[in-house]
Amino acid sequence: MARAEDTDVNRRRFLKGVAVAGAGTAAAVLPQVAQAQPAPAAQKAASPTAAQRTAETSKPVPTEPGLAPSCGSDFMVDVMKAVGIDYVFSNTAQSFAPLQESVVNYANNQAPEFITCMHEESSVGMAHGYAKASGKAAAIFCHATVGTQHAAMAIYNAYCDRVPVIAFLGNQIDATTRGNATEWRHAAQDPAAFVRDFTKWDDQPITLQHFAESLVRGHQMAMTPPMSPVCISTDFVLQSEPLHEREKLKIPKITPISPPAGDLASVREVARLLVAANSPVIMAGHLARTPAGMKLLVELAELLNAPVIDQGDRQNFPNTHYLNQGADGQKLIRGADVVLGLELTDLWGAVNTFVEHEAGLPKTKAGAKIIGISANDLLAKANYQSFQRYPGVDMMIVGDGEATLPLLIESVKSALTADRKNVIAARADGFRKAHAAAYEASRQAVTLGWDASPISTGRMCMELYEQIKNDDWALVSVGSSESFMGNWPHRLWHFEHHHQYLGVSGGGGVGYGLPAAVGAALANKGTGRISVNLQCDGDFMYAPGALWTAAHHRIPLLTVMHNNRAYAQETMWVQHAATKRGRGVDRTKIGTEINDPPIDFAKLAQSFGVYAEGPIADPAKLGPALQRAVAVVRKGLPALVDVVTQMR
Amino acid sequence: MYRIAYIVAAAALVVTTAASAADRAPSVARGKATYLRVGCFECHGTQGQGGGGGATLAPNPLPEEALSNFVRNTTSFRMPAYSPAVLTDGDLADIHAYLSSIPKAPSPDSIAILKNLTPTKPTK
Ligand code: HEC
Repeated sequence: MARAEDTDVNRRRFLKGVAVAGAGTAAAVLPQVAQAQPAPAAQKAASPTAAQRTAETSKPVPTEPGLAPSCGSDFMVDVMKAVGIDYVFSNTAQSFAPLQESVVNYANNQAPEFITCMHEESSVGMAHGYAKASGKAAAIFCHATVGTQHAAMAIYNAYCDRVPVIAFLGNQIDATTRGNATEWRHAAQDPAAFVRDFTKWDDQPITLQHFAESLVRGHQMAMTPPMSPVCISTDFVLQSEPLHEREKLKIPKITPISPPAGDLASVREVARLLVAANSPVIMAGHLARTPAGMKLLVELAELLNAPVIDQGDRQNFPNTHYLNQGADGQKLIRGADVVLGLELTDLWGAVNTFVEHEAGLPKTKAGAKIIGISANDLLAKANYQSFQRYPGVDMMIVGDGEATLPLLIESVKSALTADRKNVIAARADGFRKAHAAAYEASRQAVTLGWDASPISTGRMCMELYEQIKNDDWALVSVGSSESFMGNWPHRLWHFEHHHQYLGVSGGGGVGYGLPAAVGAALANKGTGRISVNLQCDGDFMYAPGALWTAAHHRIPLLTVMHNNRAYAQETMWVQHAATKRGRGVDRTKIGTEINDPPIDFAKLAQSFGVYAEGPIADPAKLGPALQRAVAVVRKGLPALVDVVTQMR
Repeated sequence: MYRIAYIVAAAALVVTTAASAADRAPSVARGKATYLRVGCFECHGTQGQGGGGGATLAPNPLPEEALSNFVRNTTSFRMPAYSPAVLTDGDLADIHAYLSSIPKAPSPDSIAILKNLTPTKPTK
């Protein structure tokens, strides 16, 4: 595609350089060789590509930090700084080498700092965890073609989990600049097409001013609820070209984000229904985007003495609060006269029982009012079915839950009469008792199999809690579901702060756990907080390289392996199918066990330079091992303890 | 809910189940081996402790008839029914013997790290 800008003299000079470099055989291989070499010492720039070297003969090479911007990618970094991007998670690649060079030299590898990743899926997973822990958008760089393909599943997770990730896709738009076969294979006409079904927006800017406007817009879109990944195709030539008249380029004003919220009339009606209800139930999914969301939900629940069922997508509500009634959730829904679903992924499933091929059965009693408040519909796309079943409820407010809560709280306050206040106050006692009883039941239940080997998930979780409970701790990842470890953390640990739990993968794409934990732990680095990752073995093996990233960047993170030596969930399903068909279960371990040979996760971690112990199958040895590992994390380094566990 | 339903069903079916289970004396050791071989442990834990996958089965398992009837006839979305082709009545009797042999769990008050846990975090 010829473009008008190609007549620019300097660009032509640069393009000529690329063509010359591309013609030589050494130049064609060099980028790959550079990538295959062992990573240089921490935070040092990678060798420039042949194309860059040639290009740079015509302009000064920035070797010192604090230089004036001299090339397109320097300006790109200025824009990244302006929108507040602190880190770039990336597996290095030629198509964005000039931009990477600007990060490490021009920006002096600070805000943004380049985080060395070993797979694009890990880059996005880390960005995903970082964004949730920091409350900021996180960036990745990847090749537009092969990199985006590697990154795709993790982008889908981030999309389903409503997380702002900005993916810069290194591309080479102008065909006449592609000097060799690989550069052709690594270029795309529309690279974001591959992930467009599960990103909010994308662009392919062709000038630097266009880039500035795209990134500021993309950042704003990513951060506006419902938050989502966005992509910016980042042209190699645009990155490489010398920068003239920097002062003519303008970074647009960064507008504060005002999320979509429910309208006054609808919110008042919701408040009226809630105040009038005798057995209201509140359910929360992706609600608390920030610590404020958690406080608001506590305020609303207390005003109404309404039980809260926290679905585990974020830490929406303290589990120590007497209104946290997840343990009795199903019973409460059946008895509810009003159910308020706040940012639920699956509102239909929350209040209906699934019946194959049929419409399903309402769980709630006749006449119960079901209300949804969620921004989900604003992000719905047709292809991937993550938008879930049509809920068919009594009221649906399409607006962000957290942003709607202040108005809802005010409306509830105005609707409360003295009579209703008395009725509502009388509800508290029963919930206090139920909350205490549920906790005590879990405390009793966790002793079942206490001394078993393999170690029970309850024992693993409680030995871990014992080591961290007096610290400022955060359970930064449990992978795809906390039920994989018996939900023990939320049954028995004390979650009182928003940062103590970040939710799950969103899309259920395996391979999220470890990278997300590393990214979140990076956000917690320097705060003295102990970041803890409960890590399933199957998930770990998708992206073990993420642990090397933690070692390389000295990221304090305790990874506790829930090593049940199987894809346990699938073991159950294959077992289910075989049993149902009466064909015997002996072979259901084929393809589901990870046991022959058993993986030695401690050795694997040690080979990355990570402190590690295990495998530990004797429960009596677990506490001391965890204590030693936590001591390493307190010093600011990663550590791993491999626990041989029961299936769940 | 399920539990109640299957105990009721068990009363009706008790004759057939009891007859075939009586063919040989149940064995705890064989029961444990079968429990592990046919994968009950995958969802229920090696000691029947339950967890994220399946219900708690031990200690104090359901009466043998109720257990058998649940395993044979469950329509649970999550637990498959086991036919006699996969699991004989004798196997089930053995499994029941194994589950019955599992001792009572220790009291949380006897375990140092559980003893002082309360539903709300004690202030330091
Ligand atoms: C694929 C997972 C899975 C497997 C394998 C499995 N179960 Fe279950 N089982 C469950 C679940 C889940 C429940 C709880 C009922 C429900 O949710 O539908 C359950 C319930 C039960 C119950 C009823 C408990 C009660 O108190 O109500 C019994 C008894 C039982 N299982 C026995 C067994 C035995 C014996 C085996 C092996 C022969 C077995 N199960 C294999 C998942 C499983």
